[in-house]
Amino acid sequence: MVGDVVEALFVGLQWFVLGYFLIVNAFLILLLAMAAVDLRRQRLDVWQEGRWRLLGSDVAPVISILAPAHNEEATVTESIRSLLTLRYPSLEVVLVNDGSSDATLAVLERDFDLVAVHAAPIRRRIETQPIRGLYRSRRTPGLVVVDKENGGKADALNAGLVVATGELACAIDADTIVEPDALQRMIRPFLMDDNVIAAGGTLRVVNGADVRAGRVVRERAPRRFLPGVQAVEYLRAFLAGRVGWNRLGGNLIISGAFGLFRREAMIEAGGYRHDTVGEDMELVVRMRRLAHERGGPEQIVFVPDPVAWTEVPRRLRILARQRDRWHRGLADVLHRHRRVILNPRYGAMGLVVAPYFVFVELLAPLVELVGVLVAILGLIFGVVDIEFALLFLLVAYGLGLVLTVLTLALEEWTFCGYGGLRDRLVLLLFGALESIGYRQLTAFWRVRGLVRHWRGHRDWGAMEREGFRTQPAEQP
Amino acid sequence: MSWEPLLLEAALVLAGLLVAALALLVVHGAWRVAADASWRRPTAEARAALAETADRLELTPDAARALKRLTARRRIDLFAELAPSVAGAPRSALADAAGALDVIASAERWCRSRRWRRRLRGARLLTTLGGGETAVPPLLRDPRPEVRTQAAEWAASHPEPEIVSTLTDMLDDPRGLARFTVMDSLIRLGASAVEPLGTTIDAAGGVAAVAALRVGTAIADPRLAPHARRRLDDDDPAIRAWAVRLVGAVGGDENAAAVATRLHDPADEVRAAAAVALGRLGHWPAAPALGHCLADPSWAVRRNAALALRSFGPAGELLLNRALRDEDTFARDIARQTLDLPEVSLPA
Repeated sequence: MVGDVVEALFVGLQWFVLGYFLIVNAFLILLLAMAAVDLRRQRLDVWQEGRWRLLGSDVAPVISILAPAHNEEATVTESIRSLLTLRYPSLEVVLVNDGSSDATLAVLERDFDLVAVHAAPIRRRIETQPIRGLYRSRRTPGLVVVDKENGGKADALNAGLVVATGELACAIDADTIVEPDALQRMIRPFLMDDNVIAAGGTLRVVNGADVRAGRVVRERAPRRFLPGVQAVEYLRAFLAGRVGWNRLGGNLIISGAFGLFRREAMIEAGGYRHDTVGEDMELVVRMRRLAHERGGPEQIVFVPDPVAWTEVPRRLRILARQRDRWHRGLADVLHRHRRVILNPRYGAMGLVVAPYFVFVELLAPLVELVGVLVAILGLIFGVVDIEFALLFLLVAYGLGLVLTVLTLALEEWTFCGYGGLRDRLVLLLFGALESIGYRQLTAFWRVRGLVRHWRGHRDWGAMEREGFRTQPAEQP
Repeated sequence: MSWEPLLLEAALVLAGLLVAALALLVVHGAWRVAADASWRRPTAEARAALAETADRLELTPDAARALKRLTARRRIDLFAELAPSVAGAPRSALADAAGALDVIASAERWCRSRRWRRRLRGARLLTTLGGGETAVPPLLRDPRPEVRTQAAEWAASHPEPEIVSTLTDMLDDPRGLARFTVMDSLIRLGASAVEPLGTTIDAAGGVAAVAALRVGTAIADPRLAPHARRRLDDDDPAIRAWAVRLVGAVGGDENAAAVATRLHDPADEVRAAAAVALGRLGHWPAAPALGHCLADPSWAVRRNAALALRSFGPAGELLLNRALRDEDTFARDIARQTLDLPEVSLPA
């Protein structure tokens, strides 16, 4: 009797997991199809577009780049040089040294010949930790360095927001390398439509590429497993996921590593929150939510061709912390804004986007782990057929592989951002290997993040940067 | 229960999907590699031929043959790649070559297409290569903002009065990119745009008036100052603020005095704009009035007035130093902060 109940429970769970993965993967394929449609439209729109015109324009909006840095002495100079050479006419770089305990400020003073600008007139529209000093560079007038007491990334971005003077603010991580013409591409939706309040761009994995003087000079897919498999994940998330959301209700996430916002809209929303580890997503959800509640511009778009490069963890320990933190951030944001979920008042955001983030992004690792455990235990205790277990694996991981290959095909058809066909075949190999161990491990870390969120953990965990594979600029 | 048939079917479907996806990836990649290899040499020859055309200012039969060896798409891409890098006579030579090879005619045909993306493509090509004097102007009134925008970009190098007049009519375009491009084109047209801009400044309201005043500020032609002065008493504070900027950009005693009266405007954005304009003009007779603005209730006015005074040099700094003993906390505060600055630059 008990055996029958356990068997029925196991089989029922397996069916649930099977159905769940079928639905999720079908939706992901729909997102991919929408992404393909959007990418085609986008390619046609930008064919032979004269972006150079912006460069000489007297009416181009000022963009303030906000770059928070905490203990980034290894990469900060290269990142700032890369930012200062972006091809955009009205550019201001605001680097916020968020109470670094290493030599970040000293490195900046040495490399950019900083001069202290004490107590400049700043209107403190958002409260932040005390600002210790403001610096301007004698060599590069467009650089402003804010030295403040440590308050976390959100606090640093808020300090940058109040010091900045641009109409638009671009939030990036200090270790992000932005492609030279990325801002010219990114600003397009803001000029096109007054309803746009934020735009995100594609992030690619820099590990494996050659970087010279703060620029990626040779795009290459990573050759090591861990960065390689993350490169595949980034491709799926950005090329298939976020582009697809442009047509299915708009994005809820603009990556903290690279996003462009209307500065006034950010300030009116109160800036970044300090008490969450998912501050980038939280701000976007809040901005969209407020736009629905108060009326006004609310569109969040993803523009696929402006590219920024970011370093991903090369060690399991660091990756585990990152995924744990990301998932805690996601859970926290969805919990804070739970009233949006399935609420028709918020339109597509309430009825499609937010439920997707709950049922797919948040719960998928839990369902996946349950499915794997049930399959293994069921096979051990003989309550699940081997054929059924194989069917589960096929649906859960086989469809995932199809999705990965289709994403790589889309990449081949559009941007070829990782060099040649050979690089994409390397990524294909990583994509095929991803399901063996890596996916289960990340699912475990994410579930652990969920549990830690329930227990109230709010820490960031240390993220060690190893620096890019870089060479100095050639001397003339 | 036997799952075997279902498993087999699922495996077959998945295998089919996987093979199709892989084929898409590998075949497209291989095709791209092969196409790049086979077109490398003809493209290089055609590029050299086009460079030679720009250099010699004529299309030789050999160069025409080299260019005709490419597909129409590759030929167009090549013209579009080289044309923005040259100007003057070489650019005209490229335009003539494009005309001789039917590239211009194709682009003009596209401009008349029913499909808006094709019209956009035609206008883009003609903007890059030149030509399209009859095909592009009707696109300034195209229903698609993308096409209007491109036509406005084309118009920047066509100072004919009808085209400039159409551009000024577009200053209230509902789409931001079209407005931005129209403003940019009018700025590039410079003196040719002054007369219709003056008419627009006099007659337009709202967005169009602000856009016209913004363009006027960038051009800063003295002929625009009387039109702007007439809008200094407008009901709309945005119009008054931009009129102040334009009048300030033109300069001169009469205009500076007109700007100084706006330091008492009821709207803080107008007072702030007036303070910056006076700072830029170095109009020191306005220093006492700017000194009063240090206690203004608006932060932006206080900051701009303080920066303007600091930019006057010793005379302004004297007033800032006096403000350090002012009864008003905000005046003392902004004076202290501004005097501490190692150097000043007035905000935009």
